Amino acid sequence: MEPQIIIARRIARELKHGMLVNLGIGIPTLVAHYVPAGIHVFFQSENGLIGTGAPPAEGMAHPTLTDAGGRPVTALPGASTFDSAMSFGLIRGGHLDLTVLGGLQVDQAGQLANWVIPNKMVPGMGGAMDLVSGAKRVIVAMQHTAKGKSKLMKKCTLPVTALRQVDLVVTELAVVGFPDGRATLLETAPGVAVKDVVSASEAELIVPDHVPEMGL
Amino acid sequence: MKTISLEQSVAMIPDGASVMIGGFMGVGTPERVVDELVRQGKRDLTVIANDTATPDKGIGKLVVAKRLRKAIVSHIGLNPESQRQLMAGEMQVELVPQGTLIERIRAGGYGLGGVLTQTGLGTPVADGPARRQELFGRTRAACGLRLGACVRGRLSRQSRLRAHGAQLQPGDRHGRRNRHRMR
Repeated sequence: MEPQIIIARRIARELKHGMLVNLGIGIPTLVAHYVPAGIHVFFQSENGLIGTGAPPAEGMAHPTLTDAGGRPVTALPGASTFDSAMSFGLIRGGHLDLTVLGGLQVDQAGQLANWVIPNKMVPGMGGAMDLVSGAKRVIVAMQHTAKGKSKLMKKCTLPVTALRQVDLVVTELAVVGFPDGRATLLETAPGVAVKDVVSASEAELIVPDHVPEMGL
Repeated sequence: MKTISLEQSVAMIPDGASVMIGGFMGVGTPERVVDELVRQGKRDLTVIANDTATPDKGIGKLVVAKRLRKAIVSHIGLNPESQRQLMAGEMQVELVPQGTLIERIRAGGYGLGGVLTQTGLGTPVADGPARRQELFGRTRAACGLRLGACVRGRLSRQSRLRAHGAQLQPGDRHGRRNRHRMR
């Protein structure tokens, strides 16, 4: 299974019925494909839509019906559209149950960096700072390493996105949480040993006696 | 109802104006107005908008035509030309979290002094043009409020929050100027 698929499938298991969920661009978007049967969630996109549906069939795209990345989407029956103030009122006021975002780095204290690589890539934070500060639950979807280097750091070297500690990090190797404020190995991916995760991580992970395998 | 042409309405916008433009990644941007701004050769503009779209769309076209002195936006990642001009020092970019940007616009338009937010705390945007301020004489910690980048107000001697987000509402300012001109 491809790394992105492992990550998306695992995160989809965190969805609970009735949740209002925001998915970021990239791997997070894939989560929508794996919503468990019998679970209905509402997807919100920052440009002002709740009830975002699957991408339209070819030729059916509407020029003004897009997600926050500008790609065509559909609106499910009962969907609601609104302005940016409302959209970010939902996000900043703590009305969003879950946000799933990509990450450049997460450190062992649970801080996320995902909006800038100074002097190199300055895309801007968009809604990321609002989402990480404001959502009830924050899950980071990212590959464990980039160019052989761990993205799970002792301390973020890139500027962080918010002071708030993220709740969960899901990579193709592991699920890491932050009970008691410290990075803790909660699950390993199928076929991945605990020592593989530890050696692929710069962060010092707390490893419980028993680490269950990720359900996908 | 009195109507004026696109050309006439855009002609009222002076060089150096601050222009607030709608749209999200180009979706919803008044393309004809943008095209006319480019056609009339308007320059040194400050644009307040969600993003700089893509090079061929919306505000992106103003960037490519090098008409912007400054962009106050939340995202420039889909427009490589914005990145290039920022890096080369050809255009100033003030990056603002999307929610903070819209609240600054909303509060400015309503005439509110500012909005409290935790967005941006611990990041450069909290140390930028919007400063962390004491509110009603109490420190952030003491009053339990954490002031983020959205606070553009300042406690005046009369103990009231005075809006000084003027650079945030230049659209309004110019609007006033234009109204004056039309009279």
